Amino acid sequence: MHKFVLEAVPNPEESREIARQAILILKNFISDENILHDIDLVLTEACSNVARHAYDNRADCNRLELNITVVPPEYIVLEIADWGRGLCSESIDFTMPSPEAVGGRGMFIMSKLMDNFELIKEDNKNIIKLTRKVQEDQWLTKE
Amino acid sequence: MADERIIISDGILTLQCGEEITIETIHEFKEEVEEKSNSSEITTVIANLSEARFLDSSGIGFLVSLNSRLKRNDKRMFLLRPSEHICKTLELVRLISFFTIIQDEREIV
Repeated sequence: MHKFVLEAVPNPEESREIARQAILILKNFISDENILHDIDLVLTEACSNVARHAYDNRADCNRLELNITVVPPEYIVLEIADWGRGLCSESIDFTMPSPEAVGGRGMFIMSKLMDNFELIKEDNKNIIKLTRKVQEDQWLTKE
Repeated sequence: MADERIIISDGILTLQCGEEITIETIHEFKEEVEEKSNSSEITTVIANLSEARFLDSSGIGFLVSLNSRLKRNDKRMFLLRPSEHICKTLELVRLISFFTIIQDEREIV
């Protein structure tokens, strides 16, 4: 098992950059470009959500934390955390909006590309925990 | 960093998209594209995606909004040469047939 922690200020630029940094790490473990693209997209959506919705005001003291757990040759766990408003499990909409809708596709994308989606609340910390299984032949390393 | 360019010629506005169309990049060209495409001289918008490799929901929202507004004004919009990854993302969100995709500008009549 391998663990990594990345931190960022949740703004549009850093929320995209933290996903890029995560992919650079995962490229050491996973060979399949399609899986890396899926994870890049999911992380960008999850971190963008934090940048857009978690905090009332944009400030450098706001935090976004990404924990990556890599378990070759089985799965990857991504935990995206903020200390702001958090998501309410009852109000999350995983359905696809109408084609003309400008927004509302992020949750749908995350739910379609990951195998498990979990919301965790630890005191003031809000965590989205996402798990993606990876087939044995899609890894670069077995341990 | 966005590296988009806007080219206007013969009533066609071409947005030459960079490698990524995302929450990070769209704010750098969104307003300019919307403003210029509002001009009565523009009849067609081409989003050239031949260099684009990554599209997130913010980028999708920008393309959907632009496409819908142009249609309402009887104008046309085309996505030019989207990569496999871009098509896969559009298929995932069930928008692959919402847009008119072309492989060559000469397909526009």
